[in-house]
Amino acid sequence: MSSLLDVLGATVVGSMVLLMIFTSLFNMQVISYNTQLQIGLTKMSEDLITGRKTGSIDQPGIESILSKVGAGVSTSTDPIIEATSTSFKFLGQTNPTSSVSTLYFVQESGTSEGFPLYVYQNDMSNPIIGPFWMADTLEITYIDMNNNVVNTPDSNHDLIRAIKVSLTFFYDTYQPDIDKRLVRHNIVFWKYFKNLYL
Amino acid sequence: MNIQMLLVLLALALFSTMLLNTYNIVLDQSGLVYDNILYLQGQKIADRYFQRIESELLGDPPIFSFTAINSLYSNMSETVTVNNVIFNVQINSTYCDSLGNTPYADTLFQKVDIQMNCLSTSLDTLYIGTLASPFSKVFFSRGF
Repeated sequence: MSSLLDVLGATVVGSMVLLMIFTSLFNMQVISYNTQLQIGLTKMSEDLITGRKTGSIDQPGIESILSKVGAGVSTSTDPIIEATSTSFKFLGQTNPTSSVSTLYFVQESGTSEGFPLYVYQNDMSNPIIGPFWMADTLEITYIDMNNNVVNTPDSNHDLIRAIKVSLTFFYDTYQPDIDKRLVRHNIVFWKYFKNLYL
Repeated sequence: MNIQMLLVLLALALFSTMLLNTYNIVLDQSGLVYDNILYLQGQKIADRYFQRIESELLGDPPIFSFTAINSLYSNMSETVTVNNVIFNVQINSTYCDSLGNTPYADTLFQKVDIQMNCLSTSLDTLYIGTLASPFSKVFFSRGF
């Protein structure tokens, strides 16, 4: 009887030890996996903001596209066409020899996949960048020359001198139904439109 | 029997140490990744102030004169909150020569230094740019 109790006791203690070991290993694997996803997501997000080279093609970043606001546009023309919290349409030359393009930086309607981010150039049905899926809606804040927020930007284009852009990207984890928002990357950047200061 | 039990306990203790150590390393690596995300965001904040100063110096006349920029940013402290993380930003502007050296200062050039700190994921203070090694940019006077 005492041997049986010993065996039962050893089984209980052994099971607890094994449970502890497997829980630790599982946690380590989850942390490593999420870290790996976070690195990939951060790299992708930074590439999107600052640009990247794919093969022999230089893909411009969003920062570079936004720096074209007002480039080559005559002073009699309003270089800003639309300015809302989720979209920004403007005129600008993409290079010194090109004609003035219409560029459109927009977050379109959300779906079950998230909120898609696109950039269009002249052709408003074929994006040059996107879709990039975001966890939350795009947040564009417009800033005037005194660094104050422009509250009604779409009716005050002449006040706009800079924007603050907040983007939140995310990855579907291996259990998207349980924790879809686990791996996220929020980037906030500012772009001052130097052409509008000249 | 007692010795066997002691050996089992010893093995358990040793194995747990190894497991804890590995766990710690994985957590450290994860912390490094998240701290680096804060560094990247800090660089964007520093870039914002450099862009702002560059823009303020543009135009004819500019929004601020070269001396006004020097006075405005000579000792500016601001906080910027991004994704619930508070970045304490310190900006200093000093006249310098074309290489950014302050001992041979010339009023034609000024160097803007930016340093900031925030709380890291491990709740330590994370310094993004320091007093000795700040983010720096030298601006040139256009005569205004």
